[in-house]
Amino acid sequence: MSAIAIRGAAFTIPASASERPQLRGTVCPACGARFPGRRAICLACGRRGLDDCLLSPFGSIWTFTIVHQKPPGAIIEPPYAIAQVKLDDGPVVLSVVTGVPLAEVRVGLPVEMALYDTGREEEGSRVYAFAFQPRGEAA
Amino acid sequence: MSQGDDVVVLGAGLHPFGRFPTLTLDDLAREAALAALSDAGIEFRQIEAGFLGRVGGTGPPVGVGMRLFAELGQHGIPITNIELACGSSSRALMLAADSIRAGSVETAMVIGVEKMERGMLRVGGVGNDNYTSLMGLNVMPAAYAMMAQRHMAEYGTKPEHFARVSVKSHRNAMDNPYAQYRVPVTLEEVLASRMVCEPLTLYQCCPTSDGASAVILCSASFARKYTTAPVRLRAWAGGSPVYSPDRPPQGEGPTGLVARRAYAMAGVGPEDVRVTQVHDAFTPGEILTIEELGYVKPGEGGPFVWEGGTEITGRCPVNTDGGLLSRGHPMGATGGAMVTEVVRQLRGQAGARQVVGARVGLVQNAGIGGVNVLIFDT
Repeated sequence: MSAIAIRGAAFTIPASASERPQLRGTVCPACGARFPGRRAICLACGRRGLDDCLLSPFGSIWTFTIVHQKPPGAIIEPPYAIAQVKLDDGPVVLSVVTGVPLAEVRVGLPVEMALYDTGREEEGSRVYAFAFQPRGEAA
Repeated sequence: MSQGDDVVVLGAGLHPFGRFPTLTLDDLAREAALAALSDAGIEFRQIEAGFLGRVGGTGPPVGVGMRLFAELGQHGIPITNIELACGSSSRALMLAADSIRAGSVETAMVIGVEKMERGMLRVGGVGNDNYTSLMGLNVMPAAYAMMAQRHMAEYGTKPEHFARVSVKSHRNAMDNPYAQYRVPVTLEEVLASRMVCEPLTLYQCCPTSDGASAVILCSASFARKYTTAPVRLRAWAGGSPVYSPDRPPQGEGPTGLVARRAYAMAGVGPEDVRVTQVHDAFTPGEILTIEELGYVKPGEGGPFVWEGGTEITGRCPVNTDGGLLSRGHPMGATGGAMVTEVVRQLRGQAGARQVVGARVGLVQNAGIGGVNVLIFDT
């Protein structure tokens, strides 16, 4: 079955397990600032017209929480960890943390991006979200 | 440096905060507005401009200000609807104050009103089938919990420090007849209540609420006809997040930056403020905000609260009416309720909640990154 990214997020889904998934972002050709997702104007220098890029799959947890109450509309079951992750090349992104006991999630934990199988299908494709897991774990 | 001519808060009033399933927005707004008119000692036909702060929970989405002000009278004044999430009515108040300072009008009324659904706020909207909703990332208490976790990691702030805010707020609200929760809680009860987003337990989350606030502003010359002891709105400033490549935005907007602007305009410093209302939608709101306002150094907020520094009898009384946590948080009405409490305090009308010697008061009200700081004196 083919794989697609969940609506509202943009990342690569490699065909082979040996390749890393990466978040799509934008980079300023003038000052080099990088941003998650699509931006038209650079927040750092005001340059109009940014280039598409792939963001670093590596980062560390800036801050986090363990969510114990299921928010309306969520497909994920509490308790689960979410974190603001500061990627090694600058941008900060928010997503869930997997592959680690909840009690071991902490500020500063080195993490890498991973695919998250939502278990959902849309138009014959498997829908994937993204998550972060401790760096060095198998994807 | 002050901001031109004085703007006076001539009157303020509330509809009690709580759950009122049989009352309409119109009912809530009318009662608050009539209370404010009575407090000011003027008639509605003397109001020259109307501003409505509302986010829009249940009920009609468009043109609500026209309808609510028409309930009070129809003498042709301009009505403006303002939406800044949970900071709507304080921003409406700032725009009303701008109109008065500019000389466009002598008087203005700001109504803040909301009727809300029960349960966790749907930040991303209903039926928003994208990754932040599906992955459970649109969680308001999580935003504050993440601020708390960062603060804990940077400064050693403890879960008990945050819980202590809730104990104090509940106690203050017991003396506020307009508050939603007028029951005491112990530190143990706060910590043992259901975990929502670590370290925040249920009793550290504000409720959803129905309620209304109304504030009447006027020029100093108009006020002289009605009061000999005016409470002045000395300075007001607003802001939104500032991009930093090194640090994700913390808190609900750049409170520190906005506060420094407001202090400079009012010609006062944090040491002059005797009573403060801050945006404690969740308990970290109080601890982080008193640091940003300059009442304590960064990292000292937790121990300061723990030792009673923000109690009514403390060095910096905060949320004397129970705050969002216990007074309640009908989003559009909250800013006006904060102003109402500061006015009561500066007039010496706060009864059992009275802060001794309150001459300067401050309101910090925030909504999804938009933050307002208003400074009052008498």
